[in-house]
Parts: sequence; C-alpha cells; structure tokens
Amino acid sequence: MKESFGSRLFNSANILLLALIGIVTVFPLYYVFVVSFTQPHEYLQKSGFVLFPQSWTLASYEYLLNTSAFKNAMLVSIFLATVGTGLSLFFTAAMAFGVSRKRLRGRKIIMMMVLLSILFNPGIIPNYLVVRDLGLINSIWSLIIPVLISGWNIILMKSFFDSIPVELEEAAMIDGSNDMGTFFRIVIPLSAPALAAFGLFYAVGYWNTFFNAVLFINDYTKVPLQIVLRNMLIDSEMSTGGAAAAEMISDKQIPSQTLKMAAVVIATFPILIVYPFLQKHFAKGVMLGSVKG
Amino acid sequence: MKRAITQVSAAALLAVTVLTSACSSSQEAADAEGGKDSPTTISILSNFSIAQPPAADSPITKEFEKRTNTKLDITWSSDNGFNDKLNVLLASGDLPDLIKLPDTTSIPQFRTMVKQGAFWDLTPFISDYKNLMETPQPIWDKTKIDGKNYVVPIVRPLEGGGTFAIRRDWLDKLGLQMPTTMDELYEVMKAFKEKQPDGQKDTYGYTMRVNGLIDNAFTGSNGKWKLVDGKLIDVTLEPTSRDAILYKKKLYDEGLIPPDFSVMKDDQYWDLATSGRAGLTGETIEALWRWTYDQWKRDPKVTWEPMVSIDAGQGQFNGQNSGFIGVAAIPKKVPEAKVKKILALLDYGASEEGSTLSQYGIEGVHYKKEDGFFVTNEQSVKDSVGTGSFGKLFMKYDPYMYAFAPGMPKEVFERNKKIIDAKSKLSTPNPAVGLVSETDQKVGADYNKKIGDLKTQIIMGKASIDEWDKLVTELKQDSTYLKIIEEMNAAYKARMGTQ
Repeated sequence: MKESFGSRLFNSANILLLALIGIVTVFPLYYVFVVSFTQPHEYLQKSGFVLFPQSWTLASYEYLLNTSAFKNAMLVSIFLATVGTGLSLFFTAAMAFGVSRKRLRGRKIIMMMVLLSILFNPGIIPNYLVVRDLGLINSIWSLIIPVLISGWNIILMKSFFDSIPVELEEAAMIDGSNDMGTFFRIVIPLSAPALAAFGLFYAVGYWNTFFNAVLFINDYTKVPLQIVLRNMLIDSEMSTGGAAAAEMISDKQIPSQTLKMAAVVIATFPILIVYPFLQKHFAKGVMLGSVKG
Repeated sequence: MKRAITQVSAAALLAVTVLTSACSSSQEAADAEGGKDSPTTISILSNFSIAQPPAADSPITKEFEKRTNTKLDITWSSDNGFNDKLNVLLASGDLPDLIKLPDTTSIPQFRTMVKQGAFWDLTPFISDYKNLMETPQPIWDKTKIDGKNYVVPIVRPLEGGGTFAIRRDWLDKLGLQMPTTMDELYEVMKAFKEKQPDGQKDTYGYTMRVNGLIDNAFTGSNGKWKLVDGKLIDVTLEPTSRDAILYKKKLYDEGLIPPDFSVMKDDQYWDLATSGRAGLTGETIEALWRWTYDQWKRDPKVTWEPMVSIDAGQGQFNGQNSGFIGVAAIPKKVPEAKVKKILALLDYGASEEGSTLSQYGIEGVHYKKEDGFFVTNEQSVKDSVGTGSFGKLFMKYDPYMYAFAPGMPKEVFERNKKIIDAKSKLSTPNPAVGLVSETDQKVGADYNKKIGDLKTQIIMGKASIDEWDKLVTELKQDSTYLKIIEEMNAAYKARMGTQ
C-alpha cells in the first residue's frame, strides 16, 4: 500500500523533530566528554567553546586519578554500588516475596508499616540518632543499612511477585522444595527483569550517595566519590586562602573547567555503561509458558 | 511452613546484626585517658575548603600534639554540608570538645543552645591567654553574644578583602590616571572597551565579579546596614541604592559588562579577567595574585593592581572585612580543666610558632625560608597544610596576611602592604556583624531575593526603574520588613549597652 503524501510529510517532520531533540539531548554529553580531553590552554583560547579539540590530553584524568582521596573514594563508591546493590536487592526481594504470599500472617500490618515509612519521612535528626545509636557513625555501613530497603521498591516488587502464579509454587512444593528453595530457585530466576530494573535504581542511588556521607562519615578516607568530586571542584575553588590550594592550582596549571568535565565523565560513565547490559532484561517478557492451563 | 518463614526472618535479622557489630567495633577508639602528664584528648569538629583534608596521621597534627601535650581527634568536614552536619550535631547533642561554627548568628540552633547554657562562657578565662588577646578588640566585640565571649574568633585580617582590581598596564598604555571616582571609573571602562589596549575586540570594562562593590560605593556602606547617628539604617531604602542600579544599567546598556553577568560562575569571571578580556574585576588582594599568576607568567607586562578606594558621592569608600572566618565554641559538658587545655591549644595556634605551623607546616619538610618568604613544596600540598585546613582553626592575627600569596615577588608584596595600609586608614566596617534579627532569620532571605532579582531585571532592561521606586515605597510600609530594621537596631543598642 502506498503511503499518502500527507502521512509521508508527517513522518519526515516527525523524524526531523525527533532527530533534533536527540541532538539537543546528546550534545551536552558530547561537549562534556570533549572538554574533559582538551588541553587547558586550547580551552581558554577558544573561550570555552571546543567542539573538535586539536590536541587530546589525559592530563585532567591523570590529575584526578593520582589524588589519593580520589582513589579511596572510587573504591568506596564501587563497594557501595556492588555490595550495597546486591544486599539491597536481596533484602528487597526477600521481603517483597514474603508479603506477596497470602499465607503470611500479618502481611497487611507489615505493608501498612512500609507504606507509613513512605508517607512520613522522619527527617534528618531522628535518622542521625538511629544511626549513631546503632554505632554506625563513621562506618561505611551507615551508607548502606539505612537505605537498604526502599518502601516504594517493596511495593513495586510485591505487585510483581503477585503476578507469579501460586500454582507454580505449589508445583515446586510437591517436588519437595521448601520456601527458601522456592525463593532462590524459582522466584529469583523468574524475576530477572524486575531485579535488573531495581538493581539499576539501587546502583544509581548508591553511586550518587552524598548527603548521608556528609552526615555519617567523619573519616575522609571513607567518603564516596561524590563528596570528593564536590570538594575538588566546587569548594576548593571558592576558598579564598591557602598556600596549599594555590600551589596545587598554579603548579598543575589545569583550569577547573577541563578538570570538572573529566570529573563529570568519571562520575557518570560507570552508570552509563551499566545500562546497556541491563537493557535486554527490561525488554524481555517474563512468565511465558510457565503454567500450563 | 511457619517454621520456615521464621527461619528466613531469623537469618535476615542475624545478617543485619553481624553487619552492624562488625563495623562499629573498629571505631571505638580509646578515649579515656588519665594521669597528670599524659596528653589530653581533645575531639574537634572543623571545616576545610581545599581538595582534601589532612589525614588522621598528618605530621602537622602530630606536631601540634607534641607541642601542646594533647591528643587531637579532628573531624574535618568539607564546607558543603558543614552547616547541615553542624545542625544535626547540635540537635542530637552529640558534640565534640571543640566545635567550629561559621559565625555566631547564622546557626539559630547555636544561639538557642547558648541561651540555654549549653556552652561555656569563656569571658573569665580568655584574658589569661596572651596570644589570643592579641586579636584586635573589635573582632572580639563582634563575636560576643549578649556581651559575653562564648566563642573564640578564628581571626583573619580586617583589610584586603573583595576590592576593585584594575589593569595598571592598560591604564599606562592609554595614558590614563588611576580612577578615584565612579565617573572616572566609567571613563576608564569605556576606554578599555573602545581603545582595546590589547588589540582584542571583545573587551569588557568590568567582569562584574563582586558587583556589590558598586552598590557599596554608592551607598557608602559595607553591605545592607549603615550606621547613621548611632542608628542602623537599611540602605536598600535610600536613594543611593537607586543610583547604583542606574549606574550598572548604564554599564550594561553600553556593553561595558558581560551581558550574562547575573548567571556567570566564579571561574567564568576569572577566565574573562585572565584572558585579557576585561580590565577591571573584583577580588581579594591575595586571590588576585593567585588567579592572575599564570597570566603574569605568560606576559610579564600584565599588572593587576588592587584599588584602595573609590568615591561615588559618599566620600572615598572601602569596605572592611569582619576579621574572622569562623568561631570556636566549647560545650558545657567539657570539664573546666579541659576547657583551659583547649584554650591553651587555641592560644598556641594564635602564636607565631603555631600559626606558622598551621599555615606553612614544618621547616625543611613543608617549606624553606627564602629572603624572608615561605616557599612551600609538594609535600605541603600532600599533607594539606595551609589556611584551607589547619588555618580554619589556628591562626595569628596578621594584618598583612592577605597581601601575600605563594610565588609572589617581593615588589608585589611590598606594594600590596602599602595598599593595605592605605585601606586601613579609611575602611568602613559592617556594623551588622554579629547582630541578629529573628524576623530576618525567618523571612529576610525572601526579601533579599526579591530585591536582588528586581535589581538584576532593571539592569538588564527587563523592568523599569519605576518598579524599584514602587518596591521601595512598599517596603517602607511593610510591617514585617520594618520589624527587621527595628530588631536590628534593638540588637545594636543591646550590644552598645553591654560594651
């Protein structure tokens, strides 16, 4: 069937518009990326508008990666994003599975408590007191345990588990599986798409840990990446005094802008590369053909 | 089945318990120390403003401990989030022995706690510490609460803060004099733009960094409050503020300032100044050198000169710094003997020796002295020595501190010292430092935003000056706004009464 002129016009206009939006979206990322590899003096000469740098340099990255605080923070953030995400996923899934089973007594009360925790945020100070009394101040676990389970994710995951037919579970039970076995061998594998999605949420959250670290961590060797980046790029720039700060800036001769961009790239890149790997899970269907009617 | 579920939850609980206990044990440092000569353990919360704070085993901390017979447990919190952390600590009562605050006014919780008696009144003690007493009296006065010294100010020079800085070499090239009035300054900016002393086309007169300098010159006040006949008046309501807006509008209309000045970031101002696209900027004397150091190395003819003062009809004006960058307070739970120990530590920090240690580190390790100058090395950067870290706690009052920056040639330092001497003869303090109005703390920021926004809109031609007149008339009848003025005056009177 031949397309009418009108629909072709509409299509091309659509494509053009979407392409434009695409360029507008990608351009800032490209700009950040390019500036981070630009020689500082070239950046200054071109008044900050570099699209195709003549010379590429890794100076900004070298500078960042050679700072001991930065290296520590990188490790902390990687730890949070891996261990934290893993624990969060496990506990969220375990709890959501529990409350999604109708035979669990008191599940309404548990769900009510979860709901309350979403509706009423206790605020910073009670949070701090709890963390302090748990003896977690200045421990890396203070960045994981208080945010281990998100009430919102529990609700989402519970509704996902609700869709797993109870027949499947019964079949497993007949074959001799207990609750633990069912959870690990049936439910978890079936939930790969949900786990991928929530894993991404948690990972992004952990990667961006900032405010809790400001409050709970006193020892600078234990702070996550976002805090160090902020100190390096925003605070140290504003300091009015400082032999050390001045030395650092004048000796290295790296203006803050290229450094900043390099930091943005480092801070964003890991999460950006995680996404494509999880993408296939988002797209895939789940329960196809698992229950015979 | 029920049993199985119990097992799961028990396992989960166990896991949490194990995690919790495993991590908390490491940080339980031995805090209890007794004996006569054994060092006193002092826990401290301080801020820092450089890339990374000193490590726990920093040689500088060790040196301080050795020379003052203390054991220092310093928590360094970066400037961002410092106030949040402070608020949380104050609210939870979880305070270290010595606590650093930005000032006596901006944390309302602190003032409440002082009134409740949660902090030591240091007035009876401080006179015993001669280095601390070398801090000029006005600085002590500004940090008093209800006439008493609950805090020790961490001193900084009174002169050498944000000021106009001008390209002396451009002036010379164009055969112009150093401007002394705002009208002359305008002519200079115009010449910089039109005659292009460095051959570049896109030159502005003024970067607009610290554009409040123009307002201050016009109103003759260091900020919002001006002392007239023993009373504080709000200069926003004075016609001189209007003149300042119109002056800036003229600069904007004629392209003498960057069109996007209101959204520019610090480094953008610096780029403009150091790439030769502006001949006037606002900067502290010491930072002026730091930021133009590279430019000067590339082209030795470049000379940025800080201006002493400027006249906009209110006489030669120059603003004075508050003289402190923070204050230190001691919670009441600390025993009196330890309070004296802590003050002795701060006193040592205010001595020549302690101040050198905090600013430059250990001779031979972090710096060497050349021609009377401290030359710092890589190690001092690694150990985070300097005003951005240890200097946030330990500092001696040095009027010329802001005249110096690393790498500066002696001539420039001597010139800066002369400028600072000239400034100190005519500088105007901000009379409102240390004064609090409760209403202002609640709603002041909203008013200031409204006023600031309208100013910018008028300068950029998005609103007419009539709207300013309307706003001023409104504010003059706004009972909440008038209450702020009233409360500030009451606070001022109370302070004058107790001195």
